[in-house]
Amino acid sequence: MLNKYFYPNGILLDVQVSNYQEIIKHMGKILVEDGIVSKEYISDVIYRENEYPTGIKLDGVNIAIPHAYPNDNVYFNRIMFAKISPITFYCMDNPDEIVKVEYVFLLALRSSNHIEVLKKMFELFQQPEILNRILNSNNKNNICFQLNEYLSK
Amino acid sequence: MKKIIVACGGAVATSTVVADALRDLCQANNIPAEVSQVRLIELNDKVDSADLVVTTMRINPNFDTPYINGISFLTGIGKEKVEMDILNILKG
Repeated sequence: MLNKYFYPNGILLDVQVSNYQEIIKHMGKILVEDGIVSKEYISDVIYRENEYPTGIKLDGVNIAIPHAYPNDNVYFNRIMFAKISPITFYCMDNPDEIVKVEYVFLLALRSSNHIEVLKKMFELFQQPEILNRILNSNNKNNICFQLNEYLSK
Repeated sequence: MKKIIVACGGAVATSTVVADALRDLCQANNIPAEVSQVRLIELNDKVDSADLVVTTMRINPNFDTPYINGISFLTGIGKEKVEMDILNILKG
């Protein structure tokens, strides 16, 4: 089932934060409250982001996909999405380079069986027209529906 | 049989996507290949047995095995060129 990864409470719009640690904490807190990850997952993700950054320059937009090493601190496979005022992440393919990120996908994936969803996510990231249509929406339910619909195609 | 090693920080998320794309690429071009995934910190131990190393981040290779930055498989930007480079290495 690839249609349940995004959920309305895990879609955030207009978040104001000053650095990447803050957005990971902000999103992670919601995942904890929603029973999707244990509170340790937040520091897992920050630790990994410090070591191996996840900022990515796509065709036209910049995103980040913070996530942790696979571990048991994730209870359910979910992906959170946040539109943020641009903040600095470091580039995945070159940690010396910065990228101003406006869209964050926080991955909470258990170690098994998530290759299909990752493939679909990166397929989406390579289609600027469809991606921009989703990113430009300002309706949480609509964004959630469109992302899940894309994953289940 | 060509041996390809894909390395990323955690050997799970992004390297899985890249490894899958490489399997498809090799299959489409009739190149028998074995694609394995490692963490970057494990790379040096395994690199000598490989024909090609692909990573999702830029590294300064301290080995002789051919090396390609595979971020294009995640972003789509410049993917055709990277695929050509990879095929040239594997067919060479």
